[in-house]
Parts: sequence; C-alpha cells; structure tokens
Amino acid sequence: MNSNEWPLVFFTLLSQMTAGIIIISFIVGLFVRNSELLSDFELKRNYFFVSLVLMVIALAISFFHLSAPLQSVFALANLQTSWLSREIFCMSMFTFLIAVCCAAVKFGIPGISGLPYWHIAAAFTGLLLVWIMARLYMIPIVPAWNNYATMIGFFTSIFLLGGVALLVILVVTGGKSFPFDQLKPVMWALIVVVSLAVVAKLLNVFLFQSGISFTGGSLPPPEAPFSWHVIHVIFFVAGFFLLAYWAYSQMQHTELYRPQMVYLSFALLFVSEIFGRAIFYALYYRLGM
Amino acid sequence: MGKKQLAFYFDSSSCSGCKTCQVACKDKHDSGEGILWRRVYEAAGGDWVKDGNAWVPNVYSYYISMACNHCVEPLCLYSCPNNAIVKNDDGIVLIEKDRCMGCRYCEWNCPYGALQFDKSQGVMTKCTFCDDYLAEGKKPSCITACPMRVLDIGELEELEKEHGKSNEIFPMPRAHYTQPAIVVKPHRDARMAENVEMKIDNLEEIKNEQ
Repeated sequence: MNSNEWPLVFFTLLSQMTAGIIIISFIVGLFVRNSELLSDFELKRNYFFVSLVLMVIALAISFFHLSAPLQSVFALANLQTSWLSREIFCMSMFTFLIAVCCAAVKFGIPGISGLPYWHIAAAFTGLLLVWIMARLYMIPIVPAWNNYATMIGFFTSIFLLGGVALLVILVVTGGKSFPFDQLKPVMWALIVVVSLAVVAKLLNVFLFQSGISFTGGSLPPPEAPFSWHVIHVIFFVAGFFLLAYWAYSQMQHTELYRPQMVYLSFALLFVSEIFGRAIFYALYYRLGM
Repeated sequence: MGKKQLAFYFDSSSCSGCKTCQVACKDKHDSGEGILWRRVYEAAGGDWVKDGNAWVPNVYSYYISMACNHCVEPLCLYSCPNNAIVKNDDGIVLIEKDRCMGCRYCEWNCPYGALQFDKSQGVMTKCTFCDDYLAEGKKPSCITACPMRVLDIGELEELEKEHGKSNEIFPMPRAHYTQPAIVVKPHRDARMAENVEMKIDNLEEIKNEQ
C-alpha cells in the first residue's frame, strides 16, 4: 500500500460513517414516527451537526491525497465518464444537504423548514454517494476490487460505523437525563442494524477472497501485513461483543448504563475498520503490467 | 476505424533486450528518478521435463518493450476527473499537466503501467509519442535508438494489415480492456496474456514506486 493512500482510508471511512448516520437516523425516525418518542429523538438532532463536522474533516483529509490540490477546481470536468468526478460531485451535494439540514434545525430558515424532506434528500444522496464510491473502485483490471465484495463492504461500513456512531451521539447527547427506557425501540433498531452489518461483513469475507485469489495477473499479488489482519479481526470481535454486552445490560436498566462501554466499542470498531480498509487498499494489483 | 490512430510496432522475436529504447526515452525527456515511460520486460517461464531417464531444463524467455499504447479506448482518459488526459487528432494520448491534480486514479486504471507519477512535479506523466519529433517529421527517440530495429510506428490499421492483429502477448493484459494501439510480432516462445506459468523477471528494475 502506498503511503499516499492513507488519506483515502480515513476519507472513505469518515464519509461512509456520515452517510450511515444520516441514512439510519432517517430510517429510525420512520420507525418512531407518530409516537411520543419522536419528540425525544428529534429534539436531539445533534447528529446533523456531527455529520457536517465529519464531512468537513473527510473533505479536508481527501486533499492530502492530492499532490496538486489547487487543480481540484477542474474535478467536476468529466462527469460523463469518470466515477471520481461523479463521487466528488455527489460528495459536495451530500455535504450541502447536511448543511441545509443543520440550518433548518438551528435557524429555522423560512423555506427550508420542511426538515424531513431535506433529510430524505440527504439520506438518498448518501446512499448514492456510497454506491458511486464502490463503483469507483470496481475497476475492470483490478480483480481484488472488481466484484460485489467492494459494494457490500462499503455498505457494511455505512451501517456498522453509522449505527454505532449514532448510538454514541445518542448517549453523549442524552447523558443521565435521557429517557433510555422509552427509547428502547430506537436502540433495538440500531442494534439490529449493526448486527445485520456484522453478518454482511462476515459473509463478505468469502466474496472478497475470491477476488484476491485470482491468479491470471502477470504481477505478483500483493499481501497486507499479517499484523493488520490480526488487529482488524481482534478489534472487530472485541468491539462487537462489548457492544452486545452493553446493549443487553442497557435493556435491564431504565437509566443510562455505563456509557464508557459504548465509546470503547465505537473506538474498537473504528480502529478495526481502519485496518480493514487499509488491507483493501494494500491488495490492489492490476492485470497486465 | 475512421479517425487516425498512430500505433507502435514491436518485433519481440528479434529484440535482444539491450534496453537502449528505455534509456533513449529517459534521456530525451529527462524524466525524473524512477520514471520509465518505456520499459523492457523480461518475460520468463519453463520447468524441468523428463527426457528418457533424465530431467532436463525446458526454460524460455523473451523481451517485451512497452510504453503507452495510446489506446483506442483509453481507460486513463475515461477515469480522469479533471479531463487532464486528452487524445489528439493523431490518436496520441497526452496529459495536460496544468490540469492534473495528482490523484493518481489514472494510474490504477492503466493495465500497461504507462501512467507514471512524477514526485518532483506532483503530476502524472506518460509517453508523448515524442510528438515534438513527429511534428519535425522524425520518429520517436526509442525507435531511432534501437540497434536491432525492432521498434517502429505507423497507422494502426496499416500495421495490422501488414503484420496481423497481435496485441495480447504475456505480460500484456487482454486487449479488450482498452484496445491498445500496438502490434507485436511475437517471439517463438511467446505466451498469451494472463498466462499463469510465466513471470516477469525484472520487476525490481521497472516498477515505479513513487
């Protein structure tokens, strides 16, 4: 893996986590609509502001990948055939829509008061962004990437990181006073989303393996350091089981139960995803020369 | 085809692997450290075979001199977000350096390793077909330098009429990805693209790690 690809690891993970926060918060909002929980959940809309900050950081990091960042003014010049151009366009739209959601929440700007519509637009753009991101990497001459493992892997990151991040935002926002007892359906929804993402991630291992075991290339297939695989797996298992234990314990309590466990779980899963993504980049090799 | 498409011709059957073309290209363009717009690949394969009661070596090797193939369907051009890669009226694929932001996405997309990053300039670089020489009526530096006269240029259609369509010799990829504008006269031991029994013997020498 080239050192210039490390910014891409963080850029892709942060933007996918943000897409996850926006998409999942919208889905969860649908589930709790028409109930008293709605006001509790919607009052705590810090996730829009956190999302905006995350996207700004992701965008800033993406510039470190460029060796001539000033020329990025031309980056939308080839929407016709370049997936990268499309990604940059979609990412800009996504960030703009999150900013509008923030403005709607914070200032109640006339004309953009219909927050749910902007939220829908942002969630849809987030989905589109991650789909375009995956297509960007599905290059015909790169066997390790040119399969649906890339698509599934990226969408898994949305729901894994986005789900846990939303849980962290909920816990941080709520503190001791938060009505966790009433919000059990929301938390269950998040736990289910994260669990499904974990199952998809495990199944995806086999699909990804078929891509990297391709033997028709003239260049030797690269390998990621073994330690990266170890950290990826151990942190993932530890993070998931810690989260599962916390979720089980929280269900037994009416007040917030040991929030540190949620933070630690998020940190473990995020580090695991960093190494998982680094392995993804390290396994790039192309057919031909 | 319709539009003009210049192409390289390479006679692998007569190439001695001296790498004069590689040096001439580097010298002409004064390309930076680690950059090789033209590279000579040493393809090798073979094994021991049983001959009566004895095991004898059955090894073979040949050379492939390769630069940018100015493909008919250039994936580098299609992938560049900045439209910094263009194809001119002669079918030559060129980089407009002042539009390149150095994202290196074209490098990922080229199956011939033609796009090479220049760390000192912070932009991608590639073979220009010595378009300045062409404008003066001269041939590219790699061609005129070759002592074996195994390199040449011409119209792709004419070269294919004269020598046949041959553009996926190992270690080249399958031609359908980009339709490279090159005709290769294969060595007698040449194998087809994506052959799993052969390898490139001089990877350390030719890879660009910038």
